[in-house]
Amino acid sequence: MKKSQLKKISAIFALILIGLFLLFKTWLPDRGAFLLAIGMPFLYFLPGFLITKAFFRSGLDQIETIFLALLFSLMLSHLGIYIVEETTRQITRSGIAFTVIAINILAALTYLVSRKQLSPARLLTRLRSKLYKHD
Amino acid sequence: MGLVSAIQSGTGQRALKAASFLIYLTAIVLVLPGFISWVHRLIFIGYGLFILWVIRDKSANNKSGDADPEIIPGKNFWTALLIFSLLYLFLGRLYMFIRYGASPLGYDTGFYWQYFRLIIINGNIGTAVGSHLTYSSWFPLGFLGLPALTVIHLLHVFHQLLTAGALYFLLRSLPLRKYSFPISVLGVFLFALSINQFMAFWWMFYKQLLAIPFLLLAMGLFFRRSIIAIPVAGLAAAIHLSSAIPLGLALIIFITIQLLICVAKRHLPEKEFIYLILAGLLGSILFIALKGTADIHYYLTLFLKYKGLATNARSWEIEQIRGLFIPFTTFRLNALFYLPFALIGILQLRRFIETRLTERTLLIPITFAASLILVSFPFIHQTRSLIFFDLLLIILAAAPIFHFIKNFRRERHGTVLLGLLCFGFVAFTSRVIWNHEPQLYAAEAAELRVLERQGTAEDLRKIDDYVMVVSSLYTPWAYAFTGFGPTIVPGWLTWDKWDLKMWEEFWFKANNDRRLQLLQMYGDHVIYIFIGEHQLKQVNTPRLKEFIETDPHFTRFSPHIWKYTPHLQDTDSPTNL
Repeated sequence: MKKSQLKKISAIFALILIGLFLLFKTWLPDRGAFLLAIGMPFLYFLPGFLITKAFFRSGLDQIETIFLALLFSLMLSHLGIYIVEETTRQITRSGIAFTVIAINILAALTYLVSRKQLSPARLLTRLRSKLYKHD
Repeated sequence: MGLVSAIQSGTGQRALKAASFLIYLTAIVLVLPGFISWVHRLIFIGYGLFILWVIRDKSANNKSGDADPEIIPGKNFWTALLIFSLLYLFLGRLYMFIRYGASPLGYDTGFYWQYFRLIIINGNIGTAVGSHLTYSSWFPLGFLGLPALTVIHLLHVFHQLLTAGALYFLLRSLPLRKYSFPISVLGVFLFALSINQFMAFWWMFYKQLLAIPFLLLAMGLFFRRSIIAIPVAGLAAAIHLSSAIPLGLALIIFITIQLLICVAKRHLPEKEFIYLILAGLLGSILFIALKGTADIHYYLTLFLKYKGLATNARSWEIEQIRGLFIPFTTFRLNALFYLPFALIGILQLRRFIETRLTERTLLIPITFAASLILVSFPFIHQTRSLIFFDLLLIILAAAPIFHFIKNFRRERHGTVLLGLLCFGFVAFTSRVIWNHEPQLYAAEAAELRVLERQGTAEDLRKIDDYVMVVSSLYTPWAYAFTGFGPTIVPGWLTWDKWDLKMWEEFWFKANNDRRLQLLQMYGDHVIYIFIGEHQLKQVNTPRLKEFIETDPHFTRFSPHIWKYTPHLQDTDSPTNL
C-alpha cells in the first residue's frame, strides 16, 4: 500500500472514530463514549475485514469489501456472544471483552493461515533469512 | 419434430416471444388492484408497453448488426448515484427520528424494549425471550449504558445499510457481463427508494430485517461458489426462519427438478447438484445447532393448527397470523414504478443474466416463483413474505432498468426525460416518507412517561394503580413507556381479566352500568385509561368515548389519559399537563 493511500485511510478512520465518539457522547459520559467508539471497529469491522481478505483474494471492489467486513463482523459477534452466553448462562462486561478479543484473534489467525504466513515452511524460511542476516 | 427443435427454429422463437408478450400484458393488467379507475389502468398499461418497447427496440437493433454506439454514463456517475442512494437510505430512515422524537416507529418497538430490559437486567437472554441470536448484539451496547431505544434503533438503521450492501454484493455476484457495477448501483437505488422497504423498516420488524441481509449475502456467496454461504444461510434462518422459507423452498424445488432430470436421462448427479444437497443439509444442521428444534416445532404447530392458511384463524387473529404488514394490494401499488421492469426481468431473464438451465442463477427465478406463491395466497405470514419478495423484484428489475437507460439515452432529449422520471420516483417516495406519521406521537409518549414510577413519594401513579389501553394498537407502547408496571390490555399480559365478549361489551354496548361492573372486576385499583390520537381520530367506539367523558368516575388526567377512580368520593381534580 502506498504511503499517501495509508494516510488517507487513517484520516477517514480517525474521522469515523471521532464521529462515533461524538454520537455516543449524546447518551454516555466521556469514558463510556470513548470505550464504545474505540471498541466499535473491533466489534463491527476488523474481524469481518480479515475474514473477507482471507476468503476473497480477488474479485471484490472496495464497496463490497467494506460491506462484507461489516456483515461478517456482525455475524461473528452475534455467534461469539451467543456461544459465551449460552455456555456461561450469565454474560458480563468482561465476558464480552473476552469474546471480542477472541473473535479478533481467531479472525487474524484465519487471515494469516490463508496467506500461508503461519505455515511451518514459511516460518522456517523467515527464521533462516533472519539468522543469515544476523550472521 | 421434438419440442426442443421446434423451439430452436425461427417459428418456435417467434411463438415464444408472442407468449412472453401475452404473459407480460396479462400481468400488467392484473397487477393493478380492482379499485383503480380505468383511466389510471390505461395509463399504467401504456407505461408498461412503453418500457417494453424501449427495451425491445435495442435488441432488434443488435440483431441487424448495426447497433448504435453505447452511450452509458461514466463510472463517476454511477459512483455518485451509489453515494446518493446510501445517503438517501440513511437520511430517509433517520428522518422519522428527527421529526417525531425517540420512538417514531411501529408497534413492535415496545416489545423489543421489554426484551432489551429483561436481557440486560438478567445478563442472559433466557427462555422467556425467543430467538437468542438476534438479541446477542444488544449486550455490548447495553452494558456500556446506552438506553434501550437508542440501541434498538441504531442497530435497526445499521441493518438497513447492511441490507443495501448485501444487495449490492448479490447483484455483483450475478453474471451480468460488463454492466455488473451500474446494475448493482441501480439495485441499491431501487432499494433506497422502495416504499415497501421503508414500510418494513417503519413497522419495526427487527428480527426479519436483521435476517434479510444475511439471506442476500448467502445468495451472493452461493453464486460465487463460496462455502461460507452455508453458515451464513444457517445464521439467517436461525435469526428469522420464516424469512428463509422462500429460499429453502426454492432449494427443495431446484434439487427435485435436478433429481427428476437425472432419473429421466439416466445419469449420475453432477458435482454441482451434490454440493447443493450438502449445502442444504449442512445449513439445516447449523440452524438446528443454533436454535434447537423449538422454532421448527413452533412453525409446524402453527402450520398444522391453521392448515397452512391464515384464513382458518379466528377473525381477530387473521391479521396477526398473516404477519401484520401491508396487504398485497398496497404492496403492488407501492411497487408500480419498477414492477414492469421486474416482469421483463423475469420473462427475459436469459437476456439479462448469462445463465444455462443447470447453473446456479436459476435459483433466482425459482425463488421468485416460490415467493410469488407465498404472497399470492393467504398462507401463514403471507404479508411478511412481501418484504423478501420486494427485494426479488428489485433484483430482477435492476438489469432491465439499466438497459432502459442505455437505450433511452440514445434518443433525443432522452436524458432529460430520464432525469424527470428519476426525479418523479424520488419525489414520490420522499412524499410518502414525509407524510408517514408515527404510531405514537412524542406528546403521547410524554403523557405515558408521567405514569412511570420512580419509587419516590412524588410518583403520580401509586404502586397498585393500573394502566389500561382499550386498543391493542397501543399495547406495547403503554406497557413500556409507563415502566412495565401492571397494565391491562386486550388479550395480552397477565393483568387482563376480561375475555373477548367482555371487551366487546366495554367497547360497543350502550349499557354503562355493565361497563362499571366490568371495571369493578379490578377491585379498588385506580386505572389510568389511555386513548391514543389514532384511536380518537377513527372513533369506532363512540359509546365508550362518551361514557369516559361523562361518567363521574372519570377525570381527564391529560389530553389522552383518563383517570378512573372506583369510589366517587376519592375523585381527584383534573391535572393539566
